[in-house]
Amino acid sequence: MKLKELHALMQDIAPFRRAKTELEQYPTGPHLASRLLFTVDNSYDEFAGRTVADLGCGTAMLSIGAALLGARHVVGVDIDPDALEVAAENIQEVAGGEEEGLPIDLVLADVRALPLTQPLLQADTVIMNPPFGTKQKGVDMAFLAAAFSVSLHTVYSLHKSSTRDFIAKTAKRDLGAASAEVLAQLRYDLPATMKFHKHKSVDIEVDLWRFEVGAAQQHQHQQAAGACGRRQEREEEDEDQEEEEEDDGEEEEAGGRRRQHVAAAGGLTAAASRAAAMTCAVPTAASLEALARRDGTGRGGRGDSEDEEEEEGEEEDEGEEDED
Amino acid sequence: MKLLTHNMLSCHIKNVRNGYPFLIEVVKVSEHEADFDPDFLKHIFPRINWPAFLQGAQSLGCREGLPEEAAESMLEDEGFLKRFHHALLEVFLEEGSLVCPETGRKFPVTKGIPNMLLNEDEC
Repeated sequence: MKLKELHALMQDIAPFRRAKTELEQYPTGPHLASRLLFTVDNSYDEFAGRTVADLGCGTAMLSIGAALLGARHVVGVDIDPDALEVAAENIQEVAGGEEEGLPIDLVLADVRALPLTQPLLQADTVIMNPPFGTKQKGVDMAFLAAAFSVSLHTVYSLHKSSTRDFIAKTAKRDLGAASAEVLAQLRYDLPATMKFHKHKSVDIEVDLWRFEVGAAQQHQHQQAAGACGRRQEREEEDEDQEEEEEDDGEEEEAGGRRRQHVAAAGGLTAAASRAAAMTCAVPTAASLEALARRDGTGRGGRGDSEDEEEEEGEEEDEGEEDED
Repeated sequence: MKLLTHNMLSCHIKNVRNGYPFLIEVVKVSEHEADFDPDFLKHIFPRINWPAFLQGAQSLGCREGLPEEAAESMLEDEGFLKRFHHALLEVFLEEGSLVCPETGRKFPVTKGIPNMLLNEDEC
């Protein structure tokens, strides 16, 4: 499917009826959604014939896209029953008739708590547009930890460019990622959906990330499976191993990585407990300061991220030509 | 909710040791056609907990023709693949509950969506 067609499809999917501030329910936007989906499908072919999880699926834009691109089973998880209601309607609308359904199951659950509450939930590919953590500090990282606990192979996620270094470090050190790569930098043209948004729309620089789940994670899956009487023997090729050496500037980390893999299962548990500790907490009230900072990122975003890395070049030639 | 999803859900509220697999209380079941893809079935088969799957299939009324024990070799049998495909991906629990085998805690399924949210005292 061409990027343009995907984009058109995404535009037809209904957004939140009433966006909830505390959940940072910004509509993913057809542009971001189609770009993420297109990349996963076109550059990596990680939808067709696979199982997918869409964490914080909202109105199921990404889930529907994954299903249309050949995923055989998609689990969309969200904490908001109202969003899932719209999601179910969207799915039905796209599916058309009663007979043929899209292979999507929606689950009402707290994504942040998944590592502890649903340790058996797994998918080949995890896709998500998590909350950026402006309303609730750390929620973006809790989503990432959950994504690593669910994914068997790769995680695709969107994060604010301003958090790039932190994400890279956390993914490798705490979550045991075999690789963490920014595939493109996109502009999140956020319409003023929230009451507190002063301006008509706010541009935020957003990174499209691709993470390969480390060997430790896969091991952890096996353990979790074993603990609950699931079959122990699984033929899991560690494709991740080959990719490991590719990253530049990682030499000094190479030695640490072995140890990391060993320690990462523990690291995940720690991350999971952190996430779980948050689950019962009431979402914190809006921090005006964080908001001001975000607006700042929006205004001057282009400038301050330009010098960060060389990814910009890639963004341009990766399917952009299909757009017009 | 399909049985493939059921196969991956479990009850992990505080102090529960054996919350898998969920028993299914059925109010309404529906069927939707799904693309038959033998390669996908072979891909997913090793991850399926067969006893849990059978138990779910029994509850949803699609257990017929599924063997007590499954082996890799059955994946060459078209008839088996068709029945496996049907029960795994085409039969939906629309209304009902997932019931924790240890505590009896019910997670309601409404319009096909299981509510797995925990109360504050459960996590």
